[in-house]
Amino acid sequence: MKFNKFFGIVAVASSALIATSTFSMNSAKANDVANFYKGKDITFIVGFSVGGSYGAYARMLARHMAQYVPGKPNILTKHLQGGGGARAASHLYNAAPKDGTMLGFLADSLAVGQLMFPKKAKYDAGKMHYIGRLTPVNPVLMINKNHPVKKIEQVKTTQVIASCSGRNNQTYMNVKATKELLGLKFKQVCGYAGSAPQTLAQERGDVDAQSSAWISWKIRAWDKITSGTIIPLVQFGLEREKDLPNVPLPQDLTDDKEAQAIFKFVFAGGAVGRTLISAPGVPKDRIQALRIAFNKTMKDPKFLAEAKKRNANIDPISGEALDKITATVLSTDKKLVQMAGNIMKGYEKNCKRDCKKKKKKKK
Amino acid sequence: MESGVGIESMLTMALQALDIISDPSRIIFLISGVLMGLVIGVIPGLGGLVGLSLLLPFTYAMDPYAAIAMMLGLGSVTVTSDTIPAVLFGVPGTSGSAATILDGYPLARKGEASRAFGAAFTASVLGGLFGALLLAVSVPVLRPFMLSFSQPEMFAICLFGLSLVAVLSGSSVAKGLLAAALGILISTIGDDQQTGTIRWAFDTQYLWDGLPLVPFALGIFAIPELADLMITRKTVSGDTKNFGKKGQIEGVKDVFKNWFLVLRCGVIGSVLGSIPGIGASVVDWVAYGHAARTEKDAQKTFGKGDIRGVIASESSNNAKEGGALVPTIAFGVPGSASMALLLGAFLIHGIVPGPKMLSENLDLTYTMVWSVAFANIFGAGLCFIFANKLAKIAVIRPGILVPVVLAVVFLGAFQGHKDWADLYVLIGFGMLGWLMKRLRWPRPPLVLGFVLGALIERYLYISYSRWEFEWLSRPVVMIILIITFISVILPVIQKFRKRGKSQNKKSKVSFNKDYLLNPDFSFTLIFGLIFTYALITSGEWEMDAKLIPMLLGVFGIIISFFHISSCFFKSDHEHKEKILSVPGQQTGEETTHFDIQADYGDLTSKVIYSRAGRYLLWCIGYIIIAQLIGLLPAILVFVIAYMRLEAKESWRVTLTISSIMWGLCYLLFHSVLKVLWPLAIIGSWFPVLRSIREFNLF
Repeated sequence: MKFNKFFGIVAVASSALIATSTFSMNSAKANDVANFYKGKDITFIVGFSVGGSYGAYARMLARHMAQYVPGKPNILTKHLQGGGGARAASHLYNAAPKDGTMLGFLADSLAVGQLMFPKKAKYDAGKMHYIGRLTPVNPVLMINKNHPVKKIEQVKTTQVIASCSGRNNQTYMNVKATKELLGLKFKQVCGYAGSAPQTLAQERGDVDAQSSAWISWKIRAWDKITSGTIIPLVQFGLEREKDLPNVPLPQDLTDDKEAQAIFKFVFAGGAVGRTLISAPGVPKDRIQALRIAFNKTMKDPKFLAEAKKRNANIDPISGEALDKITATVLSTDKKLVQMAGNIMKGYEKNCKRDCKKKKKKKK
Repeated sequence: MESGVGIESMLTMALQALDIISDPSRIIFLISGVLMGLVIGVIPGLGGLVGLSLLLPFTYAMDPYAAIAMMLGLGSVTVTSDTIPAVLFGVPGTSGSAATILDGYPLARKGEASRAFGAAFTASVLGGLFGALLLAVSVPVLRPFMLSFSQPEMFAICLFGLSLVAVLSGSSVAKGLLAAALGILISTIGDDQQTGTIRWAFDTQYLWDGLPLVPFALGIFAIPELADLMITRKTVSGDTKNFGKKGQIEGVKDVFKNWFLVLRCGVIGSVLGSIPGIGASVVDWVAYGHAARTEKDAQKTFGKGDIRGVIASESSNNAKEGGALVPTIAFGVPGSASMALLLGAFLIHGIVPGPKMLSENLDLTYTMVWSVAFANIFGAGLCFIFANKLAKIAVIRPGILVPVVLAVVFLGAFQGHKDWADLYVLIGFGMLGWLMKRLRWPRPPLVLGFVLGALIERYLYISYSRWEFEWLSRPVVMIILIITFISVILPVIQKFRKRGKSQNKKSKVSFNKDYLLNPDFSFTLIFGLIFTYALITSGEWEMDAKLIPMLLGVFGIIISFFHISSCFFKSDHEHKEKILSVPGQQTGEETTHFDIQADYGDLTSKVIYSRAGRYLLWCIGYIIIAQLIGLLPAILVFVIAYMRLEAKESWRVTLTISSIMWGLCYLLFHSVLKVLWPLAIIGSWFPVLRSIREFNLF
């Protein structure tokens, strides 16, 4: 009994000791983070132009997130565009200070691009720390109302002309994958400098359909969508956008497991969306603090009110969930990556050698 | 009518908008935007986009009209004040004033900077007002107008623009064609949209998106002009007798004398400005080329300080701003990144751009028109007030002027891709530009080829992949192509007729050995080699990626060969005229040269080349120091070192000027613009520097 009592006291005392020590350790860590960030600047480095949605989301987050980061640092946004976001990614990964003062708004296709264009990727998306996602950015293919095609299945028999900016761009790659793997009659016209000339081309009827991120459709063509002047045909991502539960994903339209896997690989960027990312090597406690601050911001009524005013989609997921998405993308079977690459270049899907020559012969 | 607006309601709305905008608080916001725009326009490398992104956070709290007034105020006047460095130093303040240099700078050299300013600002304000007016009255037809211009039409327009190379080459057609071909070739660098081939990026991320315009243009124009200031060791303008109000008023009168030119260039500016993708960098050249082709005796005086050259360029680039609003207003489509920011500001105030801007929100549209109009008036007015003081900069001695302006050019060039390579591009094309100027190769075709080349390739491929050859039969395309063809072929026919008359006496053709030693020979040879390289290396690409580069390669090789052989084998009298004088230079009354010409006085070639070499070493020295201690800190070291060692200025002058200059640069680039500086070695040794706000320069 005595022994038990003694043991009990020891147990209680020691557990209390452990509790207080972990508590003080935690608060010490929080203090460390706060001390570090106090009076400092955090820079959001945006991989795209000031005018785009990356910049808009970065600025909006910067305004509201600072108050939740311990030490209340000042948050700035700077732009380093180029290479479809690859320059900013490389800067963050290789050159930026690894202390949590520089965070990135990098291409949503960061991990996909790393596998598809290994030469261009001077970073490893798997080693980055994901802080959190503001919104997914499923690209959606919108077709003119007066075109006979109303459903994606009809493209099997009726041709649809779709615009694209460049071949190394989602506007081309998503539609191309869908066209080849589902056997659809898309004719792709590439070379438009961004979404403005594509929208005008669609308005003129030069092209029937245009693919652009849902978030940007919502901002620049909301009246056309609500009035039915343009109709969503298909969306590209891992899951359907909250606003578009009835618009299919290409992977829902086939039973071919291989095709589905390729789709999921090519469309993964849509699920990553507008995401805040940190370089590897940043102390864990700071990453943790940033993730907490991010999650708090996503619930901040003022932040949400501003987003609503801007018609900006907010559908957050945590940094941990993004880590998982990225890991899945990076573990994609090499064979599938090769197939996806072949499809984009217009080669035979399973071609391994001399594909260029074979393509010419086929022509 | 699509938009459903009657003339009466347009007028009411316009007046209503005038009432809205003349609210004093909004006018104050407009003026503060104008002030910022003027400052940004003066600094090379900084354009409206930088300014707008700075303003954006402030506009959230404003009422929408004030926000729009401020943003448009800023955007409209950067192309007014960019004239100032263009005229004073031959340095384009924004890419919209490159063509202004050709006649503006020679005017300043003649001591007529005030007159050039007077004309430029008047042309700017008239061009800007005309652009706004055109926008205002064409509201009902904006949508149909925009819808009638598809990619094939844009291709034809750009081809027409390129055909101006024939004019801008002056009498050295072969040189002009080579320069233009090189410009187009350079514009093909980077990610090809049709095939995804990465052309000539040499495994760098820097060239992936193509060569940036800012360091290219600064290299071609700014670096050579500053070099020649250092070489001649003379001030920009020798005397000040033409300074002051008188000169300015003369400039104003010049504009009114040439009112029809202003009108034509205003139309060019607004129409081209309304096409998304065709930016300020194209508009001024097309206007200049148009003036050079149509104005009386332009062949003789353009490029040598003809006020009409300044007027053409300046009226067109201000008219452009009105045009750039068209896609935004009529379709809710941002025509440029600046417009995208403006749209962002609209949205936060609950305004959805699009067709409603032409009906329900017409008052807003007219507020924009008024903002552009007022901004142009205020902007030009302010410039007028300061123009006299500014003109006096032209008599500052080069020992002070060169290092200070050069330092700002370095910082400006870095705004291209924000990479060390911007500086390499600046210096590389600076060398090319200087050699071209020295050897009398016209630079305008090079720039025109560069800014139009990428567009032409883009529009051609889109047209072909959408319509194959069917697009050639579209009426507008046919009309523009026929006009282009005639305007190219007509002068050629006239020339041959002239030559046929004068070539009565047949002279002997002889071999000119001296040309072997002429620098022009090696220079042409290098051009030929570049084209050969392009031809060989592009061979392995896919058809769509290699077609244009290979055609250019073949074309370039043929023309280089033609040029070299025609210089070797010349008939006797042509000899004396074209080759014997200064290296690569041509004299004689009939030659036309649309570019600034170097006047080295009686300096020998040896002195010129040795001073040019020293200048180059200073530039390279700056880059090396910058890599060590950072881009901005190196500016201080550079200015002090140059003023002490090269210009032998006293310590007092050196320290005063360098510290003021550096302080302003620090304030503007670091504190206000918050530039992301490139990484220097010192910062990698002491990473702690990078996490302190005030010292994050390394």
